[in-house]
Amino acid sequence: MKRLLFLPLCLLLCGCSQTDAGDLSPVTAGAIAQHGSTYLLTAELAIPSEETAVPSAKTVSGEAKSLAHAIDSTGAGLDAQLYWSHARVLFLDRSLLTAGISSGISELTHSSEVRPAVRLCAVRNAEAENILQCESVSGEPVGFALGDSISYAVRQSQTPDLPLFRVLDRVRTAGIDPILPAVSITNKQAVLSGCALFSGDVLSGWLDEQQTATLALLLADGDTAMVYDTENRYQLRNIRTEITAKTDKQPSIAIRVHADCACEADHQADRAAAVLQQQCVDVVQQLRQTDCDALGFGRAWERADAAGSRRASPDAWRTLPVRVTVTLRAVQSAEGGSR
Amino acid sequence: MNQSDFTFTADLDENIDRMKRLFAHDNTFICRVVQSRGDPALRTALFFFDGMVDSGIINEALIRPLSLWSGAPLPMDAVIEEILHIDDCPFDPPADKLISAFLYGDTIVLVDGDSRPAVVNTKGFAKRGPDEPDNEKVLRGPREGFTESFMGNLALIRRRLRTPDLRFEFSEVGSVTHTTVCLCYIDGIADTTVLRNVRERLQAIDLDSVLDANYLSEMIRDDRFSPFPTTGFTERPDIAAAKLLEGRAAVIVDGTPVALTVPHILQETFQANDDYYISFLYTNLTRWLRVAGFLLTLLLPAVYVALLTWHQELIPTRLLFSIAASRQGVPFATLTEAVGVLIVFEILKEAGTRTPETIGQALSIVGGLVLGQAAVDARFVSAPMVIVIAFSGVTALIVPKLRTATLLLRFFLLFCGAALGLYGVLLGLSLILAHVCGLTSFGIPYLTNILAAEKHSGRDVLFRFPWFAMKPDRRFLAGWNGVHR
Repeated sequence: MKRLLFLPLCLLLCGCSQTDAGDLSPVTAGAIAQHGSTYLLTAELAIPSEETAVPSAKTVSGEAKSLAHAIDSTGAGLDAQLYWSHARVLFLDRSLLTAGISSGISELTHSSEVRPAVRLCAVRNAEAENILQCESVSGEPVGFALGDSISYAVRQSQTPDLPLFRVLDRVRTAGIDPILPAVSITNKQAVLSGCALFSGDVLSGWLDEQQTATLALLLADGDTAMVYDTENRYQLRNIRTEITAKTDKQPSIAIRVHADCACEADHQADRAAAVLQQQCVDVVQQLRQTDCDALGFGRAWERADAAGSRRASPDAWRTLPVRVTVTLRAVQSAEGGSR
Repeated sequence: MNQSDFTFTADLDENIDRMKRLFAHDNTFICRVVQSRGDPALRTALFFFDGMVDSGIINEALIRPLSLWSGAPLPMDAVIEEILHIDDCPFDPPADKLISAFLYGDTIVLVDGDSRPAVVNTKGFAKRGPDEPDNEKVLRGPREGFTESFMGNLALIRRRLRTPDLRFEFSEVGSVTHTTVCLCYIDGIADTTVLRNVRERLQAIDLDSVLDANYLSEMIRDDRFSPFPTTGFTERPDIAAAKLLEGRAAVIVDGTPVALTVPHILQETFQANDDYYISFLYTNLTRWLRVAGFLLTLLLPAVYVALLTWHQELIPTRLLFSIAASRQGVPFATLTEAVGVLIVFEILKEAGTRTPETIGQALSIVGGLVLGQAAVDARFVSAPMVIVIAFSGVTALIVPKLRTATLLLRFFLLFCGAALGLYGVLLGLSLILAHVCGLTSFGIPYLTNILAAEKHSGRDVLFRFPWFAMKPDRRFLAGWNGVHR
């Protein structure tokens, strides 16, 4: 009998600190700006509606010297506890991007409130908190809907897959610079518009949608990708990208892209390869111009010749010529037809 | 009255007086005196109970030959030999057996001048036919079921097992009811240690009455407080016969349409009656559905409450919105809500079981649909909770043999989940598993055959192999070299 009594006693003792689902306000997105040494955090809350399946949105703001304190202060005064675990995306204001994102990202990573898998997104032509005030096409909270859009774009290789933990990894890893998907406001609506490039942890430039898709392909982040020439579009599958550094008499960086191209004839695959090669060259050039090593040339260079890379200037790889080779294998189109 | 003290004398009138005094306030007691046509000195008294006897036998086999006898008066043994037309007639039995048989529908015959009675088998009380039991219906297969007729039940088993090795051992339990109990087994197949165990436990029973097989079950089973059954029940003679063929023993109790089968181990709880009468492919699918159903019914409410209380981050965002919207206005915490709905569900189920079939259908509509919808509309409970509990309740029905276990353990896991989240659920499951590992049934571990399933069994544990691939030795302990605990 004593053994039987022991268990309910334990259960009673343990069950005192429970929080019910109704006691929480799920945060679906957040916007972070930096004014001097103060972080301004705006959270988008989803308010479930009994009448409709789609929740309505509400924004609350808070500011503090650190992001952890800003997260705490944002929820102050609310009936329900803010619940950041369901936040899909954090919009970073230009003020934060230009000041350097490393410290803010470190704080977010150490915060137990935010998931490491939350996506970060740079805001291009507006203040970050304005994104959360935009009209939502789907009727869902705009930040939540944009989170869905980014996930979809990642699956389609339209934008790089860089959630918080990967961005932090890049910031801390020498030779690989972070990039972030970007949003901008067009006709009062927030839309994806390319990506932000960083040199170190500071914003250094932007890529448009086309260039971003090519960059995502080079990073081999998606299962599939599309290549557009003037007449046709080609779907790529089984994408394999290889970046190597050659350290012989004429050092260089080589990028090789292999993929299956859904088309009807080999000449179509060759044409797609040529188009893709040109796009890759353009992107590499843009990265060079913005001093962003998003593809990890520096690390490839160091891996290939550790001794040589140490002897040379730390930034010697930045001037190395880059050769891009694209090999596409024509496979039967998913839509039918034959080679 | 002490039955063993009862005796007759050679004076028939005195014997009649004695019997009438003994059953003075029993209006079903009948004493019929028959006088022989040939010699009036041959007077015979018949004692029987109205409704318990077959009046055809009384008239044709007893009264008619006695009254037509034209010879000289005879002693009782000669009357049996020469006058009565009967097959089963113990002569001058011990007093306690005499009274016991008399009370069970036999007729006492006494001859004037002889103190030795004869007991004639004239049982003829009302019996129902061996209809298919409601609790164990099958899609295909035999439709017979046990009845309250003791010998009829034994006949139903013997009809299926035409082997001289089939044994029926009778004993009596209940100091007042003197209920006959039969231990059935097949000699050479049943495990002797198990049989010895069963006999010892039956002999040790100290009850005044045994009116159903469950009286015995609770007395002889191992781990009496466990929610897991360690004795099996069946109302079907084909199942009882199959259990005997697998090396088990069956205990039949007089007056109850249920056979107790022992040992009962976990593998049996997921076997259904018609597993062997329909395609093995279908059987295997449904057998695993039963396992899944059992796990679902145990875990679903607990996991739901654990997720909503402790692990909201594991719920997909849109589902969380949906749940949060449906919980708006519900005044109770998730655990309270779950416990409340579970209790209401069990009440409705119990009410449905106890009410007549015609009212039961209306009750299920009112209870399930109207009450559920009204409760959701009135914000007493949330719709997802009703769905979770209803689904859990329905899945429980596919494993009827574990009804008690599912009912109790569902609540246990629910509290574990509410207190410690998914860790609590895992802790609860571990405790249940530890408990099940420690269970035995008549010395046989409860999980026998589960872990080394196809090695030790007749290929009928995790999967029901087709009949052509079954091992010839289908004893459930075949190949088992464990030690009886």
